[in-house]
Amino acid sequence: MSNPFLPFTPAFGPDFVNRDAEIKAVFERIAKRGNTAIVGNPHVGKTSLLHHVATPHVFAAHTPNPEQYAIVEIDFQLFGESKTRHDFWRELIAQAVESNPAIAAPLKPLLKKKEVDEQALFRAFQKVGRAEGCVVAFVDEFDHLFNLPAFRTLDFLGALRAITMKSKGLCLITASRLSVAQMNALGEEYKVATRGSDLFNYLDELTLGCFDEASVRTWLKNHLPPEAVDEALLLAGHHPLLVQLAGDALFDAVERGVQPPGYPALRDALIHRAESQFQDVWKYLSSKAQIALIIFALRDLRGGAGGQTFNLEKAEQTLLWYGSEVKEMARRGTLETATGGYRIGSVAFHLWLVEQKIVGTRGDEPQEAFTQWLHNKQFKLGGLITNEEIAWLQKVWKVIPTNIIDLAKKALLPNALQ
Amino acid sequence: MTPLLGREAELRAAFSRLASGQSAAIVGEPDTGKSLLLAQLARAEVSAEWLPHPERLAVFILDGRRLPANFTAATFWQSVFTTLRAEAPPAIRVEATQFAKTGDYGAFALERFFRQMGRSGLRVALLVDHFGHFLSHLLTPPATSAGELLGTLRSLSSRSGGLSLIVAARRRVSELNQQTAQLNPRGSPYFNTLQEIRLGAFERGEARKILEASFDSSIAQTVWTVTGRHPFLISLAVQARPSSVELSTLLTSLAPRADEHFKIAFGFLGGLAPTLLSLLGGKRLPRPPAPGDVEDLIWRGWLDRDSDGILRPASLLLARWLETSHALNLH
Repeated sequence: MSNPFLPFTPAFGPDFVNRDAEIKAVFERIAKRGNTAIVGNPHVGKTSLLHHVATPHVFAAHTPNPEQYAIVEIDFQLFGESKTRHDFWRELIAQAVESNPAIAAPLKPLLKKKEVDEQALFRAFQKVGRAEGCVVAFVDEFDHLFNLPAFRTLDFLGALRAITMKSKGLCLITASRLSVAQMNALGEEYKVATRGSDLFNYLDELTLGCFDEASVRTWLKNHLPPEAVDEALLLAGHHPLLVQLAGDALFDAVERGVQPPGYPALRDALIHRAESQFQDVWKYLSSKAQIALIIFALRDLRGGAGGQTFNLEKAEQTLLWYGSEVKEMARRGTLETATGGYRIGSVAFHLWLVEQKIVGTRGDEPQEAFTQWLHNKQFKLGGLITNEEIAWLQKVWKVIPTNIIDLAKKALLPNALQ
Repeated sequence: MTPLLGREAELRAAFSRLASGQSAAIVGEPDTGKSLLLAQLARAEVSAEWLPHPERLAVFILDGRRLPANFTAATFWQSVFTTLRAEAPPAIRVEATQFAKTGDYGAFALERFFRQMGRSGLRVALLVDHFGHFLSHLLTPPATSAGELLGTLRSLSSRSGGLSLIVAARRRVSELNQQTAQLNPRGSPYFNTLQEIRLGAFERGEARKILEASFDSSIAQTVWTVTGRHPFLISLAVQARPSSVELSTLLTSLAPRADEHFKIAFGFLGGLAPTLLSLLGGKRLPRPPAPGDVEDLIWRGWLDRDSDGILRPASLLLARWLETSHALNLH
């Protein structure tokens, strides 16, 4: 049996699971000629969902009149420094004509022109709309446009907005890490936005979070023995990438004959494999969200580390200050819902936070702090270790909660942690 | 060519990625076998052992240190297709020849080509050795096609089904992402679809097996003391083919190249590892701080832990280097 887990790779075709509610929501909006921004954290499944709904047989199964549509799929990362808005429109039209020549017929003459005039574009899409047709453009990595000066312009973004909102002939489904509000703010930053209207307010946001328990468990059960399923869920929570990684590691372990008592030994390797993902997620969090996440990480230690007992009631109270950040992290799958609130769903992510961001024993960040600490303590080498050093870890653990909460209250924690 | 020693698990992981159309980054410090592992992936007789349908896969290998001065996205793809037309399995050669006739190496033309390849169950594996050099070359100003090439590589290797990208680099994926972050501060980093295959020190059993296969048992024991599990040191010893069991002779003969290696590799250590090694200074350390970095150094084959938990340099060569070249005087 070949390993069915493919981490870091979009799940296409039969590998795609879950997301029934999101699929339904996207097609409901397409039926109303509405536009959607699929938004989510790295590797939460945006590309997989986008491609799944764009797949012709899936599209046809969810749409009453599939013959009215032309389907286009564009990855914005294919646009580099030399590309212009004309290249975007030409590619979109070329794909639409290829997908459904009859529906896209009014657009075809524009392909003969090297530069696509926005007025002509609008009129052509209007014709498509009047004939009850619609070009549905699935645009992945939509926020990449902000990296390209040729695309963060009113000529491009204004035309895209006007055509999708008013022509009735173009429906846009995007996937991005940035939320609609963040993209609107960037529109302001680059001075693209017109007075009084947000550039991306025509996109209805659909945020992707974690999978649900039942789907993940069922899927894992198809490929792993029961004990391995439990370990995978413990390690990964319900995050799509982490489930793939944990599934991959456990599938391989089971194949090699590793028994359940040996499963915890896989944790360290999993943290290493997921490290770039954790760093990516961390980088995208706001300072306040980082503070909240650290408090969750401390709270979830449950007072067991280093033989010390923590009383983190204060930490729990401070989480009230970060209500909106906590909710946003839960929506995006950084946190998961639990009885009576939220928690870090993945043991691997929790361990990474503790090691990297609290104790600071891995990675580049703590080097300076540690060197400073050595000097402050007038650390001495006598060839062997001092008593002070032997007690180091325990002392650190002992003082961490107070320090963290104090820093958090003063909003200094992100600086201290970066 | 130096043979690849050990690395069966890593080779299995790399071929597993290749077989399922995934992309990967083989990462590790200098001289740990990254290039040799990559070369194995490109060898037809090895692929035939590991892949179910090697005839449906074309491998293109590129050395990042040997890029032409006029290197651009277009010239890069032209060279890929020139090789495919000459060396790929017949089914891919036909497709590549037809595509090359169009002369269009633009991102969308390439996407159509690789998507079609994927649909037909055909795939190209693009192997880039010395990827750090490749990136530096690409990012050297004016770097006009860096974003275009990197974005296209990411898109094609993650979405088309017809291209796998496997790179060998000293730096980890997160560091590669950081190196290119200025090009694309918004959206997905260019390398977050690459799965890491990390080359560390050999497992104890694997190292013993290599030494026992290479030397008489008495010499193998001496070599073990001098090299530990460190892949480069073992490879040095295997190439030197020592005939004497004299420890000091072996140590002296291997030290110059080992010292050179440590000097370079030391610069690639992250976190507290350099500080920790400086503190260690070739001696034994009962209970140091920074447990994560300690584990990392053990994994790399720099340190070993005794049965009583005391840390020591994992090889005499490292102990010697630390004592003579790097120990800090903090007394």
